[in-house]
Amino acid sequence: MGDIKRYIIRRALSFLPTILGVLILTFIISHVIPADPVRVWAGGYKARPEIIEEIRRKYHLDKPLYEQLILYLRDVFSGDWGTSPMSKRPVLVDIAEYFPATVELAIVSSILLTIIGIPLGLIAALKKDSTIDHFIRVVALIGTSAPAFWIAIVLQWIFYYYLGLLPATGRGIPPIIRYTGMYVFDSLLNGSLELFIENLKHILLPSITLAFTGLGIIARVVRNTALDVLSSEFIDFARARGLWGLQLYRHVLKNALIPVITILALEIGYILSGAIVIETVFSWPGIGLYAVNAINSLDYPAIMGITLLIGLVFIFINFVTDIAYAIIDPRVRL
Amino acid sequence: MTQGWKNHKILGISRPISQFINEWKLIFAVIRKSPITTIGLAIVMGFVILGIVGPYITPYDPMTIGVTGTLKRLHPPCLEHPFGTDEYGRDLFSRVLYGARISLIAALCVMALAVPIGIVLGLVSGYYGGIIDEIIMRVTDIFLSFPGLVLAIAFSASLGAGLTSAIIALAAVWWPGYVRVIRAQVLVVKEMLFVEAAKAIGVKTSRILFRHILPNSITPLLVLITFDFGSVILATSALSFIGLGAQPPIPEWGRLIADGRKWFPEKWWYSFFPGLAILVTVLGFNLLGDGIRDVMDPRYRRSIEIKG
Amino acid sequence: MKKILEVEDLRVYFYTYNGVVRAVDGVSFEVYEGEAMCIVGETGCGKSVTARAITKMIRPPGRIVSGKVLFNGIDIMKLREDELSKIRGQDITYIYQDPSAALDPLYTAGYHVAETITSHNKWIKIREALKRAIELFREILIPDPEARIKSYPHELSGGMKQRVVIATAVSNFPKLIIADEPTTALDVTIQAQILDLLKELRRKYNSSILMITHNLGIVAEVCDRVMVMYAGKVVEKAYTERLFENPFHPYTRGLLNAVPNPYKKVTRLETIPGSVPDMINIPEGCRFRPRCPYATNRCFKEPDLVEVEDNHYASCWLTPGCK
Repeated sequence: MGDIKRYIIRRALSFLPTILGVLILTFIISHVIPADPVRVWAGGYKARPEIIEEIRRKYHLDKPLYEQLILYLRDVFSGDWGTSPMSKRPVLVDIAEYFPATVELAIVSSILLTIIGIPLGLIAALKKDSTIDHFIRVVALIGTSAPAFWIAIVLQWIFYYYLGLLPATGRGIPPIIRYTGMYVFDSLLNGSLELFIENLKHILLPSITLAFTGLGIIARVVRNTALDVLSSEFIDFARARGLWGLQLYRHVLKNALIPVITILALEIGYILSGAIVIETVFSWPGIGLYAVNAINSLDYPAIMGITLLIGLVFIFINFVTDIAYAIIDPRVRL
Repeated sequence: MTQGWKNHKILGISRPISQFINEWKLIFAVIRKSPITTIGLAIVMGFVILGIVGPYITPYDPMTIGVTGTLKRLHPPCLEHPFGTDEYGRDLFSRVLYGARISLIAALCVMALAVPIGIVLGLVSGYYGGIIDEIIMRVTDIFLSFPGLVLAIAFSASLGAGLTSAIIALAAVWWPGYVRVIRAQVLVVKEMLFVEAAKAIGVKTSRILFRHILPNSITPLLVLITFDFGSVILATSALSFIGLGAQPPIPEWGRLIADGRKWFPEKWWYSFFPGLAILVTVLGFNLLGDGIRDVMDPRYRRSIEIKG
Repeated sequence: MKKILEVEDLRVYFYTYNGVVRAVDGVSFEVYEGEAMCIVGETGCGKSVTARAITKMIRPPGRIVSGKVLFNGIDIMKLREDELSKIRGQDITYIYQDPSAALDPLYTAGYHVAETITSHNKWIKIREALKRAIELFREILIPDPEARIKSYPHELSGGMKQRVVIATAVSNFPKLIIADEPTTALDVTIQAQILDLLKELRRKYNSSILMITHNLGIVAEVCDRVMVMYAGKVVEKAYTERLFENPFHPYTRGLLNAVPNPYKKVTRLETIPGSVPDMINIPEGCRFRPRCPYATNRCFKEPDLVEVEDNHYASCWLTPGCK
């Protein structure tokens, strides 16, 4: 256990420069690249001259670059991520309001992804080179080749317009007592089955869309990993020792875990970026919708805020997966 | 001496040009055997051809408003307009066809920017190691800390809306992937005997890098580039969809889908066909890339079982 | 003497894209209780495949085409997978060539031994099994067994890993230990230790050992009886001393002339010209014919394995008793 703890600390420390780098990158993108940063931060060409002055002072755009950087870092750490000209509120407050919806979507999508994708990959591995294997491969390829927002629209057409089964837009009804801020889980915790089903219906189409796009990669990775592990020498030796059934498969599963965790982490990243494009289609009130509205109204602070947030979340996910590796694979702890 | 470098029979590992060509012949033969890969190749070639020739064979002018006569606005698919028409009376089939060229050019531009940068940085990083390697890898890691699309959105927003900004943004997001791949290969190849021999004889570093290390590192790169073509097309359409990429009236596929949403769900054809075009094109690249990857994998070549 | 293993006309073919590889093409032999039997041959002669085939551990594209393997009177070839798993690891155990590849890097050394025990004795708990593992480690001369139980494979040296493998092989008091080139991957100094260990364990547990090797020195050191394989067939079978003193088959003679022989005084070492045949397009008749210095027209027909003297078999037209 000791060396796992040491590894965690080492890893956390090594992420600090990366986080700093991420902040510097966002700074460069937001302060250095735009031709006229002031206009951009003020929300485009609609801003009036007095506002321009205020913006210039607020975001320190009149100071030299290196000083801007320091002040930018200070602002970020103290929670001042700018003010959205669209909502007139601090960006961080806006984000806090919209984020839980995206988190809920991401969680449900990830769950769907794993419970469909992993078994598919296992089947493809066990029935290698059969028609099912090829069929799964093709379906998976279609999933990764189709634009998520188009799938979203197609699913809407089928299930809302044509079949009338599921609602096209919206998130559902928030339960009375908020435990997690996520409608689906909270309705369960509130004990209301109808509410749960209603919210489930709303989340189904968006999460299926997101899961469908990632299904291919998961199934493919699970399949290849399973095949690799099954043909490895130590599994052969385990069989030679008489291990069979569950005892044998415990070895297979544990060894297969690492690549699968890697790909799952990657998938969550894709789901987060996929959310940006499909939330508008479903009017899902999450970060994605906020982002697209921000883009349409040239709300620059909001866009940068979201970028920074997703970057940090992604780093956190990578950190967690690194720790998971260390727990599973003793060689990593070196 | 210069003649000798074309035929490394001495050291055996680096391949003579003729053997290289033979290897490619084998690859094409195996590709042809796999139906999935052939389909992919066919789609990709079709896409490229349409991209080049498309605008010259469109039945209607994709850009002029009202070219089909205003009576035909938002007309559903029919013989004359297989993909229907849009709200300005433009034939959507022509627009989608034109969109192929846009996607093709955009993807080519992105790759033309990202790949060389990635290769050079990867070669340098892997070959020299040390602090240069550290710095390059750190920067690469920072870029890779974001999901690609998110970073592209940020870049795109900074540069202003429009297809050019989208292309630059995507190139800025895509180059780190190549650095990693090339660097990994370089690390392996540079330990090989023929590189040491070349160094000992005194061959210039750049020559070593480009003539010896790069050709031997190219195989995984090829697979990645093929898949990335598809990914870039997807990303371009996503950026256009949310308003950052191509602006109207440019008939970029993602843009068309976004425009079509206004008339959804009754005028379904507007959003449907451009999306289908994206699906088929990207699928083609994915199938092709899949096939190339299978071919390159030595395990696949060795362990094939015949029924019997 | 009691026979614990009898292999009758075993055939294992590999169905590859290039053709059918007849890796083991009619091999028969027996192993007696408490003895050490060696299978000797060059790389690719089919000895490893034979070893794996004994407990039906052949994977596609290979297939056991025909043959009987009698263990304690039961034909193993007819058993189901779950019945086989009872025999493997308990009555018949294996030692693989590369210990680094044989051990699962995610599990400790002690766990490997413990799970081998518990998979055959479901009533024993892991804790007890681990205690038994410590005892085994001590027996196998692994220093500091209590600590080594918790070590992971990547923390152990090659010799140590092979000892762990051996520990799993003897943990359930096996009747037959099949050792496939157990020392090839190890340093020479460690090789001697491992061989001594195997001899000691054989004596202690009264297990038989079936040793696969290409090294005649090991044969001389460890084995009571030897079987020489070439291109999927048995070419000679005898007691070790007799084989070294009086080899009949030209291939065996070639092998012995290629290495320093402790039993004979030889002035020059010789090589066998040519190379192992293409296992897909096997030459007609005796498989050694293309390389044999004594080949005649008779050799276009395949010779049978005939007893040429007491308990000494060879398959060559030139041996007495073959006319």
